[in-house]
Amino acid sequence: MFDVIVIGGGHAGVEAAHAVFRQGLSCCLVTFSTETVGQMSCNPAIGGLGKSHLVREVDALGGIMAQATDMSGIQYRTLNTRKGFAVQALRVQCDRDEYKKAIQQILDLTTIEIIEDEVVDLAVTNSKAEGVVLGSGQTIKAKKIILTTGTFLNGVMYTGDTNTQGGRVGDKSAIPLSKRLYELDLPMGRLKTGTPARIKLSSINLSAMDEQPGETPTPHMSLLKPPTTQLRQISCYITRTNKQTHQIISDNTHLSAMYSGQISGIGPRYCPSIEDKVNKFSDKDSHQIFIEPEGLTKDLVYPNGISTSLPKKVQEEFIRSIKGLEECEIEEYGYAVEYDFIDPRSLHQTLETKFIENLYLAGQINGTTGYEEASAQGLVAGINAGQKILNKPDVVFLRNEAYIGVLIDDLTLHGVTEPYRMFTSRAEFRLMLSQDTARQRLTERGFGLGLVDKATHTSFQEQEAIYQNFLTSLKKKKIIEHDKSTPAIDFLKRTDLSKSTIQKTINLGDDDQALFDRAANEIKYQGYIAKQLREVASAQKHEETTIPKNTNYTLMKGLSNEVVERLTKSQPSTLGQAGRLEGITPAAINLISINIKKNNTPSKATSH
Amino acid sequence: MIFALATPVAQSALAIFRASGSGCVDSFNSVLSEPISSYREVCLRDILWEGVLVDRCSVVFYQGPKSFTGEDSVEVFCHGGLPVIRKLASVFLGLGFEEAAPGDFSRRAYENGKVSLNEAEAIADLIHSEDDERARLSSAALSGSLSEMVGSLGSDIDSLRVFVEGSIDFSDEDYDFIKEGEVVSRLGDLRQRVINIIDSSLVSSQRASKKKVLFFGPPNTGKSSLFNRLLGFDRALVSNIPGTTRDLIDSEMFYNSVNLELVDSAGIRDTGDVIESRGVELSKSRLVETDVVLAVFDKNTEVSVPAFISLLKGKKYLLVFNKLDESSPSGDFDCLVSAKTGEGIQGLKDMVLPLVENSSKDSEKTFLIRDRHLMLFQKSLDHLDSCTLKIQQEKDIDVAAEDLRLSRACLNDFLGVKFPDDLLGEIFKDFCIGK
Repeated sequence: MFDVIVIGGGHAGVEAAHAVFRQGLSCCLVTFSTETVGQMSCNPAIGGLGKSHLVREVDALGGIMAQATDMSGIQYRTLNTRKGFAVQALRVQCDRDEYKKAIQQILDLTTIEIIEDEVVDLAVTNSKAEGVVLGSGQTIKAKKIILTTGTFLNGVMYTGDTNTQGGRVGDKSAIPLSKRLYELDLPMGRLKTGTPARIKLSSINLSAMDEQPGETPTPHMSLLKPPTTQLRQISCYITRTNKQTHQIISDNTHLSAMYSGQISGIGPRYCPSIEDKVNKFSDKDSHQIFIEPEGLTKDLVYPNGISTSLPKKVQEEFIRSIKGLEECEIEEYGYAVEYDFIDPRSLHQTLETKFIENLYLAGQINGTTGYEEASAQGLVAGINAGQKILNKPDVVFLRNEAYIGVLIDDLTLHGVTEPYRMFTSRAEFRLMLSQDTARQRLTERGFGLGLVDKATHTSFQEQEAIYQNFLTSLKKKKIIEHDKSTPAIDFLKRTDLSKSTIQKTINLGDDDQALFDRAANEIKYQGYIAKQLREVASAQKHEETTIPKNTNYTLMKGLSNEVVERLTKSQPSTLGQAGRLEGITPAAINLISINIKKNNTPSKATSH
Repeated sequence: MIFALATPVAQSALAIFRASGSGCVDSFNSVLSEPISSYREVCLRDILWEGVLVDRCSVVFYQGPKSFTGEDSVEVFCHGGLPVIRKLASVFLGLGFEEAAPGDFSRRAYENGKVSLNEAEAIADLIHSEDDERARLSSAALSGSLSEMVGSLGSDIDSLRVFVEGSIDFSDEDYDFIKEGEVVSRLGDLRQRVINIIDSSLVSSQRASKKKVLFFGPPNTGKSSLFNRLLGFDRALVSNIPGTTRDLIDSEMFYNSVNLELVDSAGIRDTGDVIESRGVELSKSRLVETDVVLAVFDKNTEVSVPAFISLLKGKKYLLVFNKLDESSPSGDFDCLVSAKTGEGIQGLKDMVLPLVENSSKDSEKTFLIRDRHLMLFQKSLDHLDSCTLKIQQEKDIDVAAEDLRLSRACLNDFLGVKFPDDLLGEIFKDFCIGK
């Protein structure tokens, strides 16, 4: 008997299991193959816009993805350096094998038991999950089950007109389990995604391409546990498709699995196949391809930008038409994969299913894509499964607290129409959610939940104290300019001066760079964040405005009969709840609000 | 179910009742000599209450949602006699209808998605509008043309947001969203359109929509008598004792659809009386917000004309000679009247009219809006300005994007709706994005 069983050893699974472990509970992780635990199955990179935000939040809550990234990172780049602090994002190229190794190393230090087997069935009694049935026939019992099976549910891979069962090359598909889920008659859908071919590094002419070196000094993903050493850093390369490439692709589009009608699933629009790019945007005669190394010692690259399900022969032909790839050798061909997902609207915000108690779903099975999105969901499911066992309240992150909150709210409220990927534009409060402020937003809470260990928490508190001292002294500082004394803090608000000029004027040491940057950003966003907080607070006011019990809605003039009926029936206890009822318009909410106020305040004589 | 008399409570040829709410059709059918089973058809019926004929009326039923309020509705055209109106109202009450509060119909229409919030508010303005001009402005806003303008402005902001958001979330693409989207010049265009809306709008609470006419002059020239004569009733206390008028007295009158606010004031002269000098100060300060000044003199004060004219610099004024029944002026006056006999009063009114019409730009205004609306448009404009600055400086694009979001949010508030953002959808539709 375990507290929690996690099914699947991908990015959601490992994060879920680790969170359970951190809460002091027993956990078992069942995977097809212990060797693939922590495997990056698509491109070997972590982070990017909206995604590094998630990774840093998971990190701030004691998660492991950021640490594994730093243990395997071979090229770091900060994106959007000129677009503003809130939307800057770190993207890290990882050594695929080292990443997996890092995850496994971290898990080795825990009490998580890893079982190599297939889960063929769930043990469910009276709509309550009680355990899992393994391929060996054995049944393991647990208080909570977290299902993180990724694309393994009914996964089918397509290359041209050949298709194979399986969620990833070399792995089998979880068919018996998916049959079981189908029998439960859950709301399900089908999605697809694709990958490009993998090419031998030694067969590429890198000198014909543009080099894209990493950033120096090398940043790090984990803020809570910064790495002491990092791997050697190497470059990525950029090349482009050309007219000839496009000709080959358009001549053969009909042979593509995605175009021949074999695939019904919906693919991500932000990650189109090269067939899509050439056909839907025919006015563009060239597309970028990022040549991403698979590792420091591996003779393999991932050509990011040309995912395809064309037949092998066509893949070879169009790839060799690209500059620098003329002589290349393909190690593995690109394919499209189609898989089932469960409509995330059937989940609570804790990621527990509404249909089976004690069963949690996390990751790609919920219709998302991306390692980071999976990891964040794994963490949420792991935390909540643990908290429920401990009889503690649900842990929900608000949209203005974390990208994790945006992710879970979007999924469980709106469902998905295509594989869901995080973008900064999904977060309406993104000015408050910079990747660099994740710890300030979440670490105290993580510590309270037992996710962050004491030593890490103490060191975080010390750093915060240093910053607060810096800020206090900065606020006291005066600058004499043109015989006039100006508060140093006012200089930080000036938009006409460059950061370095301001820094020079205020006369700060080099060591204070990070502290200064943080102060400068805080001051810059102050006004806007205050405005957003008011927005949050006004919604909050509705949540906190209680409607008196047994309110007689028929006495409120102006409410339509339907509205009165609904309100009378559900008797919402707050205005916020009333607003979420179907058919209750903002005008009706205003009217109720006015009526509540009117009844609470003594009437005053009006004057003209 | 609610009902209301849609025409004024007054003796007239016809009166119209309107009722709305689910069940109102069945309910009203029960008092008709013969039930009506069709909608949108005018039927002649006898209305019977407790076996007694109330009136023979034209009745039209509307089936929701194809009605003004979006609910089942009834319109009754009855004879316009007050007893009939009263009797029919009691029939509605007897049937369980509630008398509608002002704006109830509009609110229901808004709640049922038949009109936008600002259209609903415009209807309220129309009902309460006090003169032709404002009625015309209201009907322009009502017809949806302002909503349309703001709506299309909003969707143009959205299409701009697509580029700004694109430049943030897809900065790795080899596509310069800001440049290709001509974001800066399009921002300029959007700014101009908001300014145009503000310029062509008249705020309903603006006192400027009432034209102020100030009676001004030396004491005891008959200003108050003239004031009362124009009003048509005695509003101001008059006597032949100089300085009778101490406080300003206002009253409203309509003339040729113009809403005039007449302001009587204390006569101006050197006086040791403290109370009067306060009134004098007041009437001087009132000059600032006055549209037209009627400077009133009589034979005795004619000599002060040049001194008063110097006080009226930059103002529109008419030199009025009063007490024509007693004596004639020796100098030049715009208008000669006698408040006592009424002589020349019509001529005075006709001279005031063109002056007040020219004194206001209202006739160039197209939309009647509320203070709330004006504030929203101004905020929207401020955010566009702030966004433009940041885009031009090519930094803090995240804040620029926030400004654009807020600018759009102001317009949403005006329209009274929230549009679900599908910016990403738009980006994916129009641009080749992704690796």
